Amino acid sequence: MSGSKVSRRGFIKGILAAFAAVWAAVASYPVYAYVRSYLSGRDSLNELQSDILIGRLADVESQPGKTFRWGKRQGILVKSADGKLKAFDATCTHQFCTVRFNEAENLFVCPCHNGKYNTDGKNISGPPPKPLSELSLVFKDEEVYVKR
Amino acid sequence: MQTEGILNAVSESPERVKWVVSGAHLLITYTGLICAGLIFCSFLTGLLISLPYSGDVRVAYESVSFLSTRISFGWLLRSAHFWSGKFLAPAAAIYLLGLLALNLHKGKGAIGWMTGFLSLVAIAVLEYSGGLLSWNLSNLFAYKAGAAILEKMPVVGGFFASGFSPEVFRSYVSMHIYTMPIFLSGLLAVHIFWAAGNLPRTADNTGSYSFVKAFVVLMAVLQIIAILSVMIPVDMDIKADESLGITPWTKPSWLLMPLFTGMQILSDYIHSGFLMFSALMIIFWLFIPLIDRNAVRLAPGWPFYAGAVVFFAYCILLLLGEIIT
Repeated sequence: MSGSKVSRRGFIKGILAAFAAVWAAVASYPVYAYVRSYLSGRDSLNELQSDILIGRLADVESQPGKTFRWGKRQGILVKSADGKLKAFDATCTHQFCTVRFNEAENLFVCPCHNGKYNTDGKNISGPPPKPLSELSLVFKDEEVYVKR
Repeated sequence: MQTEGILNAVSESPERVKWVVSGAHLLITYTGLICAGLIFCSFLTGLLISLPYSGDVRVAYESVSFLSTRISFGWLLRSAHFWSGKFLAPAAAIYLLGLLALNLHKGKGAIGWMTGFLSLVAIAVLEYSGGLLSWNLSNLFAYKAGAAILEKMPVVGGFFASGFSPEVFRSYVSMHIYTMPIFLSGLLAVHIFWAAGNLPRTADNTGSYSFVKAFVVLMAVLQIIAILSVMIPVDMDIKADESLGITPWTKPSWLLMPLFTGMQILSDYIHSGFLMFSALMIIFWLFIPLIDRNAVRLAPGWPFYAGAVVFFAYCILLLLGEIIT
């Protein structure tokens, strides 16, 4: 019956070591899951960072005022006065409503306060204080992309 | 007489002596440990969340969104990075005040004080630059409030006054992810080396009991960060957009509101003279071990003098800038 005695300090150390082991195991799981998830999702991330496909050039040209998702916002396509295809951020520069293309007037019109922009994105009437932001287009293999 | 008796007792049976230190020493020991825990957490989570992060301003927000919503536990690591960063500067400031209060900045402590003080400055720069990286409206608001103050500073103010561009954003990213962490690591390495040889032990002379206490403190710090990260995760907010500017509905989170409001008020009233005075005060406090006449002085080598010359040259430039502008 003369088993080795465990000192109070030794006992506390043991308890702490066990606690640390459990804590480390629990804490390392999110790190493991994160790294694994990151490695398997890298392709989607690359896609996220690449240019956004809007559509085939022929289709896009036949649809003036075509809208598309651009991040969390909307973009809008139009043929400008010189016949070039242009893309703009569809957010009105006045109160940030989304502008629409009015084919009859050949203008962008904001439905909130009737602000108007021409096909070059310039603010021509109503309260908008500045032009629409133009987005860069990229043409690849008969397809139209908007640059991130 | 009593002291003599105690000393005799110590020399007769040293194995029965339990060494303890004053409460003030415990303050710096434990705030130092808390800083170590927070720095460990910041570095580890920062390294992990930098993997999917993009320093391109056009997709920075999307990459943070991807990290927070599409990668398992990404939101948790981002929140842990945020919370550990938020507590680090106050903990480091208390630690440095403790060093001052105990006169540990003097003599051999000059190295410890200066590396500690520069680390606090590096932490402040990391805090400011880090806010901008998630590229949301609240953080752009914070950046602009800070830049409105900093642009009034002669000489370096031009950088902040030059407006915002993808290149400026990239320089902040590079500062936050590479330059400052490397700089801070170097400072901390010197500081820890100094602390190991100069700071008093917290318990008995074997150090074993202090190890247990240190361990408990570190675990508690990490646990608090974990709880905060789960209970109050960092949100995404709206993507920042320079063309939108700062709008009336752009509000920082409730936590940062008092700070940002204060910064806005300051930016309206602050003068470049005050900023210059602040810069001089920072330099004064950095060099206080050398300025303090009561300090047990080291014989500083040429790097000390070179550092001082650089700082004083900067002060003169500030002064000249003030006169010219």
